[in-house]
Amino acid sequence: MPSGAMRPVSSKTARRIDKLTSVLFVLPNLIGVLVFVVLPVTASLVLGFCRWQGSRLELSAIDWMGLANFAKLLGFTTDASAAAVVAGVALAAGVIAAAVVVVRRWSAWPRPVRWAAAAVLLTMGWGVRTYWAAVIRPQASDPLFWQALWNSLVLMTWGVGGRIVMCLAMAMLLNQRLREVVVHRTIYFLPTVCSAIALYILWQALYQPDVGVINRSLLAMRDALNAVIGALGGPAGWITWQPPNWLGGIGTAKPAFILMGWWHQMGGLTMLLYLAALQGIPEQLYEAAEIDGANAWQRFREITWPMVSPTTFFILIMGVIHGFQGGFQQAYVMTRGGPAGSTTTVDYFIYNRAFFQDQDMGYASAAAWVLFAIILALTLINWRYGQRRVHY
Amino acid sequence: MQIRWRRYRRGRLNLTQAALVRAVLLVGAVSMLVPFAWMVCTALKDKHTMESEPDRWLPKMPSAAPAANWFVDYLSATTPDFQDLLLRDFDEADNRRPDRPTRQGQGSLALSVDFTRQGQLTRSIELRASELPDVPVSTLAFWLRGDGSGHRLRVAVHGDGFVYRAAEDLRAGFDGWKEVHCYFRPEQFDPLGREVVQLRRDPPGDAGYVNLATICRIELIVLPEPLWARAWAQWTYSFRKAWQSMPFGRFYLNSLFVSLAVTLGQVLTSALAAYAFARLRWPGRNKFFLAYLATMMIPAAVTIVPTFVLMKILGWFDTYRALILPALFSAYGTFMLRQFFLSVPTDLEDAARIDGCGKLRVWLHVILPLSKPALATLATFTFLASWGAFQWPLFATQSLHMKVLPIGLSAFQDKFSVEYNLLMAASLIVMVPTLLVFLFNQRFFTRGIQLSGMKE
Repeated sequence: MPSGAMRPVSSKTARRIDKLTSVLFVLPNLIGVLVFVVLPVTASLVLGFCRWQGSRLELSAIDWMGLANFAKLLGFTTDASAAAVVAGVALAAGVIAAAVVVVRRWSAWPRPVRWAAAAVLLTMGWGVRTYWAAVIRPQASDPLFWQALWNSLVLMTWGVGGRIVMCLAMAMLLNQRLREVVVHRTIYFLPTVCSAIALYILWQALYQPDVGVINRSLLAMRDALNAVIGALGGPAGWITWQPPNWLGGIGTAKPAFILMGWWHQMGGLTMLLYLAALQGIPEQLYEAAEIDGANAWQRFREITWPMVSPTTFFILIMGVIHGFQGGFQQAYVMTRGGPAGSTTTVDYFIYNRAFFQDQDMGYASAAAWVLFAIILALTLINWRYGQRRVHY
Repeated sequence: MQIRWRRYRRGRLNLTQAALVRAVLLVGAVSMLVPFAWMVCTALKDKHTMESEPDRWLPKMPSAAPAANWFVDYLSATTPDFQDLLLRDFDEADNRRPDRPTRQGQGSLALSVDFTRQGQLTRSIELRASELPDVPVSTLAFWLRGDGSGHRLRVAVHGDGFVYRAAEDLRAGFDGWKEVHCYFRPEQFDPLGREVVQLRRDPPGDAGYVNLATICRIELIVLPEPLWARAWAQWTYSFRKAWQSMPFGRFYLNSLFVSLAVTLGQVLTSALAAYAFARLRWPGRNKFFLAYLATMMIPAAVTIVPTFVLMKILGWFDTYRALILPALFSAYGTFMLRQFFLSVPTDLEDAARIDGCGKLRVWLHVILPLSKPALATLATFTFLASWGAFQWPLFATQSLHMKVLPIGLSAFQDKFSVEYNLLMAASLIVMVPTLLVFLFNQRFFTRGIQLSGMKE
């Protein structure tokens, strides 16, 4: 009901005053958002086309660079001919277009066609990758940025994927009618309420190659196995496997981060969201399925999974957004982006460029906008193709 | 959408299924708790236990005997240019006995005392002053062989006409030989991790270098302590050291102040704006709301760099203003509260208006009281986010006294990167209060999470 209808006085001035006082309500927040969000975003966009180096931050030190920052971030040089590059771009675009077609038709196709399409798609992708690696051989002008993109992608994919699987499994376990489940819910939730920095420091200690508990336990297990083998008459010291260097190894630092992330979030907010979703599924559905003779897997596939799909979709969207722009804290506390940049996420790359390494605010801003564009694109893709799989 | 902490699926499990679920849950819970257990156990270890027993989990108990059986050897002094001068090797005939283990040379000085017979043991080491070179020294050092008992050793040095007394007693809770360094100059740490005794002049005054030729006597006093006090001292060693080496109290106050200010400000401005977006009519309302929603998409990386520059230009860098103001205005809080305000029935509002309430009064007396759960949720989450914030405080502050808890902990880690007992103790100092708050308000937390986590 419009509030004006109740007022006996309704002159033009009164209405204007009314509007003005309404605006006053939003003003404090609006000014804050303008100063601390809109202004920085605009400044960031402008800075993305500039170079601004130096610790004194004098305005006179800003140099207009045009698109040079973006060219350096995303550009590459190659010995191949222009035609080969154009062909490579066309091939890549073709694969993406094919992927779009496959995703669109996916639910309309029978299962064998789906598998065939996926196989064709994978082969095409592998072919294009091989073409780029063998023929064009691009030399990125900032390989660290590409590495950071790759690291972010790997960490995000494994993080979100693992989280969805583990948290759903955990929620289903914790939704059972067992007395001790309440205690378990508290235990699994503990890491979520602890200071994240404290936990990263803890895990860095656990991951230490020589003195860390993880490697010491692995070694103890190896030696115990060797002892058993020896006792059974096998050769002494048969297993010579050495535990990994975890955070110190280029190949193992990312898996270490992913494992820690799973431990951290196994019983956290995602699990609680799933728990709430599971508790919202009507029990009659399961009863009906049981009467129809559905086994456990069928009940999960046909009832649980579709019924929690809105939650899954929400977790996927938020996980992609946060996963791709995150990773600074772990990298800063545990590895400082190393070894050899293998844990440098885009986030860490940006702050490293802005505040630690060469302190170029312009280059960092450009990288931040590239990140923004990628997140936006990923979110739109998720939104476009994810929503149709969600059953409300 | 709401979660019920004490509700389960209605269907019952059969025995095998229940056993399986229980086993999986138990394994999971153990793997969740083991890192925490290791954290607590490590924080309860002191430096010597870390070195001598790296695999030990349970806290170590000092030996129960009311006796100390220690040995001292190789007394030396260090000049300002790091030259070691040997003062005494305890090589005299009466120190050379087979039951006296030596570190260097042939004999050692025994500090053996049975506290059931004797209250304390005082051993004076007399130096022949005339034989010592006339040079300034910064440190006296000797090797000490402890027996794991953890009784106290008090050091006093007579030199330059003053008495230099140890600021703190040394606790020989270790087994085996350790080098003990007695500093005349005020220094906090020994870079090599040796035992350090800080000597203070008596009567008080500036202590600097002390002329070696004037040092005539070194007193070593062994004092007894009850078992519980020795155990307590050993278990709390890491906590005390961590607390002393960084101003965690200040970090707590900073975190508390910043988080409270941010929470209060954000709830207030968000509630005002949310009311305007939900109920009031003004030109451009919906467009502005869409713009608000759009700002939630922007990654922090985009805004942090220019905001940092802004803080520098305004001269707010490294102040509370830099910590609080940029976090004060949130589109998310506005969005969340607007959704809630929309569900508040309009009748009450209309009634208040007919009774002559202005907008502000309606907001204060009708909307806010009806939205307590949403306000509490927003407050909780703003507080938690602010309490745990890392990136912005890291870049916005520099000096030690401006750091908030996570930044302080990170700085602590930079300082003691491999002393895990100290790192774990500091982490626990930071973690435990939040953990306690959670354990006592569990249901409130989980309910709030549900309210904010998903909006359908």
